[in-house]
Amino acid sequence: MEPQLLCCEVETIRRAHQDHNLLNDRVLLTMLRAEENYLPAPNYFKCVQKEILPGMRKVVATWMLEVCEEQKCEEEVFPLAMNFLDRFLSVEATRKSRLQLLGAACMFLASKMKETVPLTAEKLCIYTDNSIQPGELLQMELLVLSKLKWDLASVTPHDFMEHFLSKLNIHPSTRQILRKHA
Amino acid sequence: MALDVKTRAKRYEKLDFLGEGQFATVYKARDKTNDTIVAIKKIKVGHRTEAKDGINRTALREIKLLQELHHPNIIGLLDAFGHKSNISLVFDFMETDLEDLKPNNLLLDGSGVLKLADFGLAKAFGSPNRAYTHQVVTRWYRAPELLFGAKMYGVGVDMWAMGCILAELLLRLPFLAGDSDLDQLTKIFEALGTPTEETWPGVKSLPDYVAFKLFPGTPLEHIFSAAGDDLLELLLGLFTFNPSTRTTATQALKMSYFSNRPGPTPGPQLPKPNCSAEALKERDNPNIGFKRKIDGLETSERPTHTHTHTHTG
Repeated sequence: MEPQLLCCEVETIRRAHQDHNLLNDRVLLTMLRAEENYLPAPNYFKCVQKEILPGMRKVVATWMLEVCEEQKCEEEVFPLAMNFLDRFLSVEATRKSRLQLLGAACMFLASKMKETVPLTAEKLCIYTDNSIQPGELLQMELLVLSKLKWDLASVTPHDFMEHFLSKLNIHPSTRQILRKHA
Repeated sequence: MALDVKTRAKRYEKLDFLGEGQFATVYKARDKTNDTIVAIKKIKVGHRTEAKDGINRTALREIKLLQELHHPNIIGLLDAFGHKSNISLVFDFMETDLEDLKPNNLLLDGSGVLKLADFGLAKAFGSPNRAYTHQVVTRWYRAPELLFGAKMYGVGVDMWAMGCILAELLLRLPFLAGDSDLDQLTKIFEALGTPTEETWPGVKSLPDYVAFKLFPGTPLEHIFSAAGDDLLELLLGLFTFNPSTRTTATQALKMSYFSNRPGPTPGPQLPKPNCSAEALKERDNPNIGFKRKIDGLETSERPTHTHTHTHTG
């Protein structure tokens, strides 16, 4: 396309209106059905992983949450990144020395999917205290994509929140508080 | 969808170069595993600063949406593979040239079925307050609320684009071809009249609002002199300035334009690009296809094969 046809990017982050057509039972049922396709294996510590233990997942998850909070990522980024991490660990035995790299790659991808200004490779490497290099992160990104079959359309618990809130007969301000604490 | 690009290179045999856009190159290829013809869209790696952030996220989003959407009028994604920062998408092969809502993104398959392509900038509706990327909708198809910098917008932007596409099909030329955002607004207002607080409540409060000369606008029946009243009614609905009263897809489909006779030409009888009328006559029943009025939808009139720009998302 002729470059002059492109509109200039602006600094502000535009947001979509809440679409009430989407807060109905048909959509909810579709999401519930879709969710099943993105559930990690419940037994991957036992059946797939040889080195990684539940405690290590907790450590990396805590780190990921801290990065997302400090970077003020959109709320959906963290749950989506965790879904990618669990799905990856469900199919691929991973060395514990690569777990943080995996966590970083999952945040990298989740941020690209959900954010207007995504996390950069450089920033993520700094958050590992430079224990990983951008090149490694890019390689891991591709490995995660391949193992997840390029399917990043995961439904996460966060996605259900508006549906559940819409079903509660509560004041909008209470709704906002519930959203914050979910 | 394996990791190794070499395995893929072996699976797909490149046959032909189909086109090149700003963001991708498209090849025609044969899938050796089942001997089908496919189109491979190879996303260009941007300059080095872009490559250092890995896989292009527009491509990632396009893949995500295409994997979620299964519809006869949406192009089918067959496969995806990557290597370093390169990413290639494998699609059903389409007769028309491969490629936001604008005529270049509307493809016809061999049976004349319309397919939407290029979801690079599409974003799923669902959760509220979801952040949108900025560069939404190529300028000529951009709704006025976006040009005035609206920070919240809805599906109305797509309906405006539909209006522009419909107008282009009728005129065989882009309807509102602005060469800058301001020029775009001028073109819109010259054609449709400058909106006021009465016709579009809240317009003056939009972030990038600037006052324009008060153009009276041209009656649509003068611009689209061959269009019937039902079609003008549809165009008028799609070109409503106030996004909250602009015709929605559901309302549009209930308008008489879509039920009045004559009905649309069945897909397989539509003429194809670079396909002579003689060849078509031999192939199809000549008695039906050509006696029907097709309302300026003759795809053969569009220079689909002479211009090669493709991926613009």
